[in-house]
Amino acid sequence: MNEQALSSNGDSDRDLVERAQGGDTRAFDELVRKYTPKLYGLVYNMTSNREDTADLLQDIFSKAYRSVRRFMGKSSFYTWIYSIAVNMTLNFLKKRGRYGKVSLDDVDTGIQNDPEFIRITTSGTSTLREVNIHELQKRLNEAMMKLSEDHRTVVTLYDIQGLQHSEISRILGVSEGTVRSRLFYAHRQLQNFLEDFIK
Amino acid sequence: MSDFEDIQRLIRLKQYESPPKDFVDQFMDEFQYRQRSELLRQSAHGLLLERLRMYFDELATPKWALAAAALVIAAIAVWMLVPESRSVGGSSGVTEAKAEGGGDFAIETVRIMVADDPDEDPGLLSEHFEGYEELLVMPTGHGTGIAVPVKHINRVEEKAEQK
Repeated sequence: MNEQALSSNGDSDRDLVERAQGGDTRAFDELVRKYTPKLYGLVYNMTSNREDTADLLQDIFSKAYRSVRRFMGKSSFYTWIYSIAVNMTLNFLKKRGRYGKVSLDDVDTGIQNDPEFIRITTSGTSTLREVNIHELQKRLNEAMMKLSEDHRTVVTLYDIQGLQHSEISRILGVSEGTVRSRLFYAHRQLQNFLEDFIK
Repeated sequence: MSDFEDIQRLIRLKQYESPPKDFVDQFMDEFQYRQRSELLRQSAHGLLLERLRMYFDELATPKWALAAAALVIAAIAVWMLVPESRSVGGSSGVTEAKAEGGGDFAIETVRIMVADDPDEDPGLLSEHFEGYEELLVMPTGHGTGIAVPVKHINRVEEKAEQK
């Protein structure tokens, strides 16, 4: 996400946040509508489950609504809501880890028309050419779920959501060096899990 | 192209795992429903607190009622404490005296309850009557008696002799 887009986002967010802090529920609704698709991607890629994602998103926005009056604007709303989402999702994953693992039968369609997907599947390895969309997504999900929660978080934020190291650092409250280090080890593990597709 | 770049390209495909159609609209409906429920719950909670506050405010408004209650409590406390301070109990706690007053002495005779213990020293009573070194207890029956200061008896006897 580039700086100009972030800045313009920040301006409109600040206005909506101020109105929400003044009790304007419609302003907060606008923020929810704006951030639902982005946070959906974050939570879904960390949980690999649609129902859990929907429930968690409700909890995340409810918590944000209850806390919005205390939001001081020291960071952008974008960073703030992402921090809430990451923390709540990590807490959820810890609880779920204690009570059982999620099944990976939740796969999505919709990428078959993506130019990048077409390019990869036509010019990639023989495995990649032969595999169907469902199989690929299943393998990607399985590989993601094999990562530790911290590693999965940085891969989701950096590779899937396209955030910068500095933004991830602010959201997670860790140094940029830690973010880069986690990314390096996560990529190395993913390379092993998905070696059939990249040889 | 490095291996890591290949991995990143593969993983980036997951960005197409977007919410199903109508998800956002349905999600908004549910969120607004929950938001309204929470607001109603908060306002119901606030209303209850406000009513409780008003109830206690009204209760505290007639200050004369509180003053009256305090007065009653004080009266009860005095009533409970005063008889205790006026009792003339010895160590056995069975002796009670009431001043009848009059004459040359502040207290001339005192009606008392005689102790069950016949060996109890009536002289102990003098501890409770400042100015009298010794009291003579004269039983009057039914467990009561009259305590007369010895000095008073001596004066009466002196007067009788003079006559």
